[in-house]
Amino acid sequence: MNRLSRLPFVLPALLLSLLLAARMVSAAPGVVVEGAWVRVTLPGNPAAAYMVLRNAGPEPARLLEVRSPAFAAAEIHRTWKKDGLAGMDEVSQVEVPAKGELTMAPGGIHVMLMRAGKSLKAGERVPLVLRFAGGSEIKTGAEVRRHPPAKRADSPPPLGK
Amino acid sequence: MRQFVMIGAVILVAFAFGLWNLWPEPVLRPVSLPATPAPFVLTDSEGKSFTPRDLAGRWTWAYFGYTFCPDLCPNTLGLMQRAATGTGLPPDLQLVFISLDPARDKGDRLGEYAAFFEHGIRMATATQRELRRLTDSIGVNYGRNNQDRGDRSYQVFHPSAVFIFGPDGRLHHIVEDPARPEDVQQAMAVLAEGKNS
Repeated sequence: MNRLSRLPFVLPALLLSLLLAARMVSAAPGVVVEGAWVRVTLPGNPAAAYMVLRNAGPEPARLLEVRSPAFAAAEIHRTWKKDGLAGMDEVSQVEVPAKGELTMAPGGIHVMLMRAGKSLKAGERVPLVLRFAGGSEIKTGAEVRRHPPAKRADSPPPLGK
Repeated sequence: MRQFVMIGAVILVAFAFGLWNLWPEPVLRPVSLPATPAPFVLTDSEGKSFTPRDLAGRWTWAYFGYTFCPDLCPNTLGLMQRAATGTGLPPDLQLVFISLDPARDKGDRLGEYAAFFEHGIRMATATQRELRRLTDSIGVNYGRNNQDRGDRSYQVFHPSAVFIFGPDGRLHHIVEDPARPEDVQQAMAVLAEGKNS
């Protein structure tokens, strides 16, 4: 068999493997991101991203990294309170439990976004990329806000964006 | 001989690093309420002095933090503001933010931060020495972490509580965890109770 006659077999196989690989990095199986928003304060300040991650899958999903092209650096942080003091620690990963959810909210786990490329205004959207163990990624967008969205019925009304 | 000097140097560096890591060691100085703050002179974002005289005759909700804080400070200040203005800001209630980070919160920064909160919160700071005198006297501890990446991105460990001063200028209540709206509402109730007593 010469080289050219093998092409009809090789090409579909190559395409199929490419498709499979693309599918693997496109999304973490079963994880969806809801209500992502980024709190900005003063220009040049670090910003915090909050969201809810829902995992419909039977396995826990481990979030390893969040990045945004709108910021030079990003870290997953956990705000702690101890003996009356509060601070933040970087965490190397957070787990979204199987058939469960992980809430990133003020005063808890959040993504600290540092050194914005340009000054961000309320109402804009910034892209976020979430990378999970196993190499899968989720691309999502987050609304830039000055204050939290009023979501829960028991929350006081927001100050406005 | 050289080896000993080297080992000694390594031990010394390790010891210094250990000490550096230990600072800020949380030392809580328990206060029995109401507590009288030590005399203090802070400067607000408009350049006016903020002293115990500014506490007199009204209730004050004070939060200690820093403007570079991305999570807890803007959140708590927002909660305080919403809780206070939700019922219409009473004329005898003022909201105050005291920056524990005068090295970065200088110049127009506090003014910009006050504008961010629509000038509903009076913002002030002072020298570290002045701040310590005030915080020590009301049992507040704070410190700085050592993760300065060369871009002045260090963190300030600060109290998570909101401190409520009465019209007599004394500290009356500490709202330990104001992260939830219900805690702030509880503080409102405490405030109302304080006003009636």
